[in-house]
Amino acid sequence: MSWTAVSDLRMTAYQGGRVIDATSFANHGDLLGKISPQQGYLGFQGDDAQVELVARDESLARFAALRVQALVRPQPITRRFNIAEGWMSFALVIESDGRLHGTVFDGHKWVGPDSGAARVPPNQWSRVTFEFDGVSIATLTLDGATVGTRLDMPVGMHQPRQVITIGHWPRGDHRYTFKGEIGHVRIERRDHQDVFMDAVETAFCKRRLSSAQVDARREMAYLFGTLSALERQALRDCAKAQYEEMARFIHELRGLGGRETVRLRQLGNALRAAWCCSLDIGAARDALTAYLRSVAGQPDTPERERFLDFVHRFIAISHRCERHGSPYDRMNALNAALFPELADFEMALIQLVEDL
Amino acid sequence: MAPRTDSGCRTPTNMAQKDLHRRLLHLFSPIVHFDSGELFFPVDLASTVAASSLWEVDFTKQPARTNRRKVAGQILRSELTSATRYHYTTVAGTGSITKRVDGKAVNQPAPLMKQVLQAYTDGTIAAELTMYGTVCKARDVPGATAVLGAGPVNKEVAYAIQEGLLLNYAFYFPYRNSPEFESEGDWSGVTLLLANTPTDQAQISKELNRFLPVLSCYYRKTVEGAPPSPYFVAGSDGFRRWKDVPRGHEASVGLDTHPHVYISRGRHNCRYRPGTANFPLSPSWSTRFSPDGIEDGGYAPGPSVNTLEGGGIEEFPWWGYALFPPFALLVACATGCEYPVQFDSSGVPSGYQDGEDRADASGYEAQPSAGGSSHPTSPANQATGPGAKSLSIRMRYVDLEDADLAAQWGYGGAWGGATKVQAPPAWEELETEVWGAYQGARRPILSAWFMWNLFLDRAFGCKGDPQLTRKP
Repeated sequence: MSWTAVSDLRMTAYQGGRVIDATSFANHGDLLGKISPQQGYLGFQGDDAQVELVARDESLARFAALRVQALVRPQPITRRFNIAEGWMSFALVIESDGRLHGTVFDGHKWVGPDSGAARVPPNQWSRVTFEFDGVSIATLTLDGATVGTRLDMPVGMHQPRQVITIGHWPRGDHRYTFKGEIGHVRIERRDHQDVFMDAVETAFCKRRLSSAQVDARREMAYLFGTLSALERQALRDCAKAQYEEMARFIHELRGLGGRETVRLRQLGNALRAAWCCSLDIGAARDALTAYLRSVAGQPDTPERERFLDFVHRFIAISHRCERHGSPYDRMNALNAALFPELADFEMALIQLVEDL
Repeated sequence: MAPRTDSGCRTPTNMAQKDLHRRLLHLFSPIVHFDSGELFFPVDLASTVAASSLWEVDFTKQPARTNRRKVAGQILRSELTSATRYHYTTVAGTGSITKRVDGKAVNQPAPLMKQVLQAYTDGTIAAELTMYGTVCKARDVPGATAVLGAGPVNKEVAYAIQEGLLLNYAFYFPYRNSPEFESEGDWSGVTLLLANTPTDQAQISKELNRFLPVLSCYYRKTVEGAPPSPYFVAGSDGFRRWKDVPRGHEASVGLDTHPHVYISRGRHNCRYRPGTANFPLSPSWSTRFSPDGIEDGGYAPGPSVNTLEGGGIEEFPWWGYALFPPFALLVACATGCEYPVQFDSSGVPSGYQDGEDRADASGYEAQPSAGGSSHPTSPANQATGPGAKSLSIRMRYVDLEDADLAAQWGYGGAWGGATKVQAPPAWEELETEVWGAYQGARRPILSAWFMWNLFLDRAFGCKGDPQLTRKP
């Protein structure tokens, strides 16, 4: 799964009161309060000590999913310690009893997993991670081990307002601070672009392209170049909207429970294995149809109606960005030549629904 | 029309079917016991609405601001129906806690227990002790399919989920008070899973044994804030076989059909027997979590690899693929299928400290009845003299064709003004660990909670059926 690092603070490069971000986004952190930069980490000594990343541009405002990783060495934990918090967006903290707690703000309250019985130990380095897929699942890890999970997270994310703050809560009083040291911090986002790139990667799957596919790809690239800026922007916006709709759709699907989540994942693995490893499109289609049959329910039952509703919605989402006319008709034909198996897949899906 | 969230629980349009539901609910309605130290008892929603003002929280303001939409006694039916999750009712208003934190004054919303109690004690609110009953087709309840697919399910239970009914009995308390959690408004309840669905009254009279419950679910609550708040959990010991449930006699059928429910003091957790226990606030799922079919591990966070191989495809703009509808299959996969799923030992949030939960057998006993007593602290009840511990509680069928009741049942806001969660002293710095929110109790969708709990019990709690038969 692809992530885009939007700030990578290794705490090794400092300049003019700032810690330097290693990504190309240049989301450097302003060092504020009583804070001591060291090689590889920052010492948080005063209640006012904090690192502030100002959300200057889109790079910190495109979180559809989130991953925050940090190396921390807290002093004895006497109160809630803030590791990183995006204002009105997300937070990764150590609670006063040592539990790790990661949350996102759903517009009403902060929701997310905690580490239960697992505690962040004081006076030693720990690698902590909070990851939220933007759909329904959030996990916390402590030194690589999963220590907390929530499957019922709200879909989507609110973007950080103004700042992301490390070692303190954003622009607040000194209730939530950090005492100790914080080392390497990496903040990553996953948005619709990452999702599409993942899909592209799966689609091509390191295969050697046929000469027909190479030709199709070349012509596609040319045709894309003929689109106006307005048309390009409309397609970009549509792709984003399609992703968001898909995320909501999958959120609902997962709402059936953890088992459904696991089954979806197994289906994904089966499809990918069939697609990428065996190049056996038949096996992939079998995996899909077996899954669909298992959840389709009996004819003339509410389960069947729900199933058909889901399938029809899925197909509708799929067609959301479809365009016709010149040059789109030609592009569609080229896409079909580029991904003949995918076209086959959709036909199988529609056929299955008709057979049911 | 049933509220959207009550899937499978519509009121039958056929009068005979509706009467059948009513009869089942009366036949199995619980005998409710309250602790001797209980201050608040389950009341009817109509008197609550009549005495409540309606408020709306504006979370776009920092800090959140509340605006009163209606003064007490003037809430219209349509306003209940159209209320959102940002609305709340309150019979007492909302106070605030002012603390000094690091030298600064911090205001937090807080519920007003004394004022709520006063309203029931001085007769301002003429409440009737009430439980609300709903009937749901088990297989139409969200999650039923997941339960049946979640591993070994006892044959009787599996059959009942496919063919039987869920009878839900919900209690609305004006206030919840416990050391860790306070809230104006509190919901509680039990659910029974009937083995089969009778088609007419004669069947109940002649073949009642075919329709007896196979499973009961006694809910307790955590202070987790996920909607509907709080969580209603059964834990591994919340489910009881019908044969193991203590029950009272029903003369009309000559059988013991009325389960005893012991309500714990202040928290209003439901238990099948009295006693004092160190009752976990977090679910007590067995930790014999089976990774089989759930988890295959291998996930570790780290830098991602975002390099496309194959050469040349970077000349395509990524958004170009949105044109091609079947590509959505891969987008769906990238969005939802691939994400690594890992569970902690329980599968649900945990981390709150245990509390002592007390449900006293020598307290009040409320027999189900066509009419309920007044609130035990009210002047009317006090007139009967001290020691009057025998009460009656009205079993009210949630008939969604009754416009007033449908509006109350479908109300999407919170019942009660504010919630205050207070960390136990062991969490240290007590004064800074008190927080509140405008998020009173929302009506619990017991049928869905039943399935969710049963699913977790099947998926995470046990192999085979040990938890259902185990003696606690």
